[in-house]
Amino acid sequence: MAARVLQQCVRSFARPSLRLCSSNLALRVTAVQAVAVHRPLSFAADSRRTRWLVQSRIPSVGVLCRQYGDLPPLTLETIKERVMYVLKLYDKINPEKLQTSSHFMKDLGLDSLDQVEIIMAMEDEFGFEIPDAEAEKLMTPEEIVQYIADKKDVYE
Amino acid sequence: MLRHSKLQKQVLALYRQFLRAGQDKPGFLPRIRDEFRENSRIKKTDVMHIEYLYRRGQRQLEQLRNANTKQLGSFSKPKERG
Repeated sequence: MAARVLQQCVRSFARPSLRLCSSNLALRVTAVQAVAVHRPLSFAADSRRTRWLVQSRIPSVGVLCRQYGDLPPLTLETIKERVMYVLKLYDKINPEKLQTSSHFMKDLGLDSLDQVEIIMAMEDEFGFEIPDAEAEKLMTPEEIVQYIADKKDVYE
Repeated sequence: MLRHSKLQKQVLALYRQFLRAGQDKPGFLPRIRDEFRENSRIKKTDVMHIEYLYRRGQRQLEQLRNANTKQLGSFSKPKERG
């Protein structure tokens, strides 16, 4: 039982450099298991050894490739969810009354100072600067989503 | 209030700079918000007062940005009971 586990562990490496020592391991394993069920285990060891020999033909160098890390791609849906989530966390907004089309000043009763704070929270969330001239025009969550989608080239 | 006047835009820009500068140092943000909210009550026509407060705010922003300021605290009087 333990021998089978050992064999599986060695097999999972699948390296031809291990071929020699793994065949030794198989031999040693068969020697240990001499008392127990001997014949099927040795047969299995033999077949595995031949399989390893066959596998050694495969070149050990894998496909050369570069890997980069990046954030998950933005879609309109994810932008909208993040914007609404940030707005719900703001303590001056009632989460039940919040819709995508609710105007900050007319529907939610905020003033321009609050609107500056909200835009700053959006800047922190999405990681890019929004200039003042355009920031003061964004009055509903829908407009914020549109603006971010424009800036980040997200379209469907 | 669809379009802000020049002065309003300046005040909002100052508010934004204050919030950015005060993010890392503890104790400044509540004071900034209270101060701006308190002064938002003065009339739009009282330009002298607004400009005075604006210049004062700019000087305080320079103080805040100075690397030597670390935090802000305040004393408050406990509420009288009975």
